[in-house]
Amino acid sequence: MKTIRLIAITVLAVTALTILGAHYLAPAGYEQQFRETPQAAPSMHHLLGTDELGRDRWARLLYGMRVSLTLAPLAALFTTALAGLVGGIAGYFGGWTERCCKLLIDLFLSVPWLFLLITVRAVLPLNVSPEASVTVTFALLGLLGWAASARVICAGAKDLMKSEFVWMARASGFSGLKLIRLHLMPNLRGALLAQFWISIPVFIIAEANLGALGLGVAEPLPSLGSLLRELQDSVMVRPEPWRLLPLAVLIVVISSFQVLLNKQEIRN
Amino acid sequence: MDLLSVRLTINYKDKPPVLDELCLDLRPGEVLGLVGHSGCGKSSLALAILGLLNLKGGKARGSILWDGHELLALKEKEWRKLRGKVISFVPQSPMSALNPALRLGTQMNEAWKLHGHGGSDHMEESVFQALRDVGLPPNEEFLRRYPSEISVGQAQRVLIGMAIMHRPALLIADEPTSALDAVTQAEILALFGELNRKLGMSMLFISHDLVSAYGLCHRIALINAGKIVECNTPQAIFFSPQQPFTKKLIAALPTVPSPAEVEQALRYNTF
Amino acid sequence: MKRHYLVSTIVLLGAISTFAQSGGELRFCLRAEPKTFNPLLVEDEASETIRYLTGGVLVRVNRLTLKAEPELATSWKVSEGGKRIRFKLREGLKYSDGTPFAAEDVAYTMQQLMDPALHSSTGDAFRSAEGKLTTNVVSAKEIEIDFPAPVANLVNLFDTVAILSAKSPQKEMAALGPFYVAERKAGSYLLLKRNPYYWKKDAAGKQLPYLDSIRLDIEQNPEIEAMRYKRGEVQLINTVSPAIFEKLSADNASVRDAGASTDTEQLWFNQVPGAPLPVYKKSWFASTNFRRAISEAINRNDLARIVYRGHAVPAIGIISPSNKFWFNSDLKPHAYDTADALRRLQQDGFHLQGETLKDKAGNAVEFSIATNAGNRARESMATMIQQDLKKIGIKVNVVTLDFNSLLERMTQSYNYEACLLGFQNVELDPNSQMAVWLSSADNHQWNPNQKSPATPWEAEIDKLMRAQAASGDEHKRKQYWDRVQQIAWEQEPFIYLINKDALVAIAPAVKNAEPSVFRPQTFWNVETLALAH
Repeated sequence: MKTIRLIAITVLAVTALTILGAHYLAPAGYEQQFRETPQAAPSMHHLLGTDELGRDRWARLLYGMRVSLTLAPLAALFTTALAGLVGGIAGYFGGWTERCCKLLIDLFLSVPWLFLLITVRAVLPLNVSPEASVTVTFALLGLLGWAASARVICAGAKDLMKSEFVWMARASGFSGLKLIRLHLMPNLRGALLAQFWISIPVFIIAEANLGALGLGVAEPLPSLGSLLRELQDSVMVRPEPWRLLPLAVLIVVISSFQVLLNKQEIRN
Repeated sequence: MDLLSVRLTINYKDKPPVLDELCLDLRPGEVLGLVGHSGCGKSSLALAILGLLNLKGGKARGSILWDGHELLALKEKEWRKLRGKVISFVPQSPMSALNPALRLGTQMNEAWKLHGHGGSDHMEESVFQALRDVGLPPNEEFLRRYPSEISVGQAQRVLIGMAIMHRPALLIADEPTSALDAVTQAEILALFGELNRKLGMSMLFISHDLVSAYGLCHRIALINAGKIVECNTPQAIFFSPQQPFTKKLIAALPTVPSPAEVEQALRYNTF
Repeated sequence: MKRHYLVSTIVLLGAISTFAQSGGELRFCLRAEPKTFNPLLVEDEASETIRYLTGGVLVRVNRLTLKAEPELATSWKVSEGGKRIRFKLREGLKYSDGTPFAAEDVAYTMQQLMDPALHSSTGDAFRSAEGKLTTNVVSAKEIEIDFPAPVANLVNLFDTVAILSAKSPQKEMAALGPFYVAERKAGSYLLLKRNPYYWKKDAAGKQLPYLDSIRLDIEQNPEIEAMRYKRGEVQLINTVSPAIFEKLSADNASVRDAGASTDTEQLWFNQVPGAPLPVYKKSWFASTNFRRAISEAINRNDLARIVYRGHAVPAIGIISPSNKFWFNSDLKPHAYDTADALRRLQQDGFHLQGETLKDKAGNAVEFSIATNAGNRARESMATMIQQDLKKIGIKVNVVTLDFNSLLERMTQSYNYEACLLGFQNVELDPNSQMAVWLSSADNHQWNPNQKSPATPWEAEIDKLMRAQAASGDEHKRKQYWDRVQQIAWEQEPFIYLINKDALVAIAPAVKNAEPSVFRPQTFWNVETLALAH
């Protein structure tokens, strides 16, 4: 167990350093087109080869990680906090408060977000920088992604409210915020963490899919999601394993997150 | 004057009452056993006295007089001041009554903070004192443990420790020994007896087990069909039961202890 | 760079009788369910395919020679300056259900087609002026059709008019073409069987078509279509994307580049006066120098070479060089010359400040190029243009929008700066582009629905467009069109980027195939296609 944690810490540390040092590690700008060598195989010049437009895949991966692995966890944190708040309140109070919260959750789950997002795009000016566009997108994801998680948290909180130790806590005089902070939240931690780390890859991919609406990262800035999207039309791709690296990076980083964040669960 | 005087009818939703105009009085320093079948409404009574019945969807009518004050008229905020400080509670299954995610120390500290005043030195002293009161090692190592790292008996001692930390006037113990093995059960019963003598607090000892009540209680009240059937000293209950229900209960016991055994048990507080 | 040019047409034509074999089922894919089986209401590509395979037409435009050839009509004559056409019809023909064909069917079809209530876009092409069309059935084998005004390109338009039966109980399902629809399963496939009454015979006197049936599978995903082609489950792909073309050709599957098509991809700036854009930006976009500078700063060769992997040619103008008759051969390719681009910009008062281009008033030159999301080639082109223009100090933001939002911006709110889209030019005759070039037209994208022409050159184009539409003389029309192409080349309201090659896949088992750059590329001569057993 310890070795695994050590590996996870190393992975995350290396990832963090890579993200911070993208500028020094990348052999070329992520947008620079080597037009004489598009779709090149890996070489000394281009560690991971080049993409369709001759851009260095290694550079794009570095900057893509920087964009996605910074913004996605932030958005996930935000959405998990919202889910915890709404789900926790609903589960704690029960009764009509719970009904109201559930109504809100159902509303959020059933609203056709597509139209809303199209409206958001319509309101945004066309001349936004790629960085601003991707930040807005992750902010939207964080703002909208909490409902399903809140439902899970609400169910968990409700179960906890019926548990013996919460009764015991009440009998000792606990109530309100103190009860939530001490007895609900620590025990919902597992569920919240699960929601958190599930949200990260979901957001990374969702950001790429929102590209279809003109949201998300814009050319030439890469994100992990947009790099993954390049893989999706490749039923017939010739064996070019180096192109799968963005996927591998995503899986490894998310797994490392999970290993570290779940230490509490392992012990129990 | 009675410390607690209860005249209660309790029912859940639209169902028939589980307690029907039950009358009960508790004197200061007295250990009163409340014995009946499981599901006869004993626990509802405990909840009603703690003011938590409405959370389970139950409704209490009548009166609960505490020291001459009507508890049923209290606001939630006033209830909160009583719970854990004046009236405290020891539950049935100690393992699930402790928060699995928190260290014992945190749980005890937080329980102290609810009603305690003073600095952290004061808190530490109170917690250690509580541990000593219940026969647990008063040290940091023990407090750093999680509930999953201690035995059931220790868990029940921790809970009792938390319950007596603020020196309550009444301790309600709801089947506190039924989840324990025979040896631990005896130890915990002995602890209750000792605490009762040492701290002088009253106890409402709720159990389905007449024998454990016998050794501990000053008086035993038998509940059946929502009413008190008979209320008397253990000796009277065991050796001259008045009611058919009581007789049936006594007859159903595997062995009835002799008066001599009872005397001895009372002296050492073991059974 | 691989290019699979057609071997000489003559050799193939000579080969027809050699490979003529009857029987077999040809299979290929449709990208979507046909929306209609009524040939007069065809608008989508799948329905058009069905119309082509099942419909009998009076004349057929040969997709290689681009000449109209007799089909149901043996001969025709245009008179009254293009207002009247008289067809002599083949005799003794029958629909697939056995109903005989006669001149009344042509009259019925034309009346239906031109019925305003039908809203037929095929019919719109014939509608050059208000008024009613009259049909005069001279005899069972002769008919005269009068239009209220001259119709440009009149004969070739009949290539799209499948003649309905006035009497058949099967209505539009009675086919006069080589095949009829025998079976269909919604969302899955269509089965076409050979029309037993089809009239055409090969040189040896054998009745056509050679094929027994055609199975059309509905498959939206081009990748899956390509995989099925590789496995031999389908034998034709009409349009192959450059990426799939490369993959197929790397896997030694048979693919052909039929040469530059008439389809164009273009970039244009929003010149609508009322557009919600800053005034200084509107003045950039309205400047000919600005547009030509942008055009000169775009490396079209790189677009063709990298985005289309060599399967495209830098575009010259409205009409593709492959449309040999109508293309103005005096026009030269647009130069890629950043120095000249900067010179032009300086003429308008633009200047480089460090690495940023600024206009007279000191505004940094920045604009967005919108294109439809999901079209990788367009996104890639926009990204390359972004890099190209960075070299002359212009910052471009690439915005991908879902098609409806883009359309809304293009046609309703005019809230966009530059747009990158393409045209599919199905018809060879440029008259079909009237709706684009008339300044009063809806599809005059850079500044639609003008009350009066905003610029002198638009006014001149208007005049030329009206003149060519009213003229029945092809050579006069060609002169007008040459001038229109010249003006468009100089003014560049559309900055034409590339003409895509027509990339097709035809299995070696399919004999007599002569792929064309014009639709339907692979099966335009379907009646003579055969399968080697």
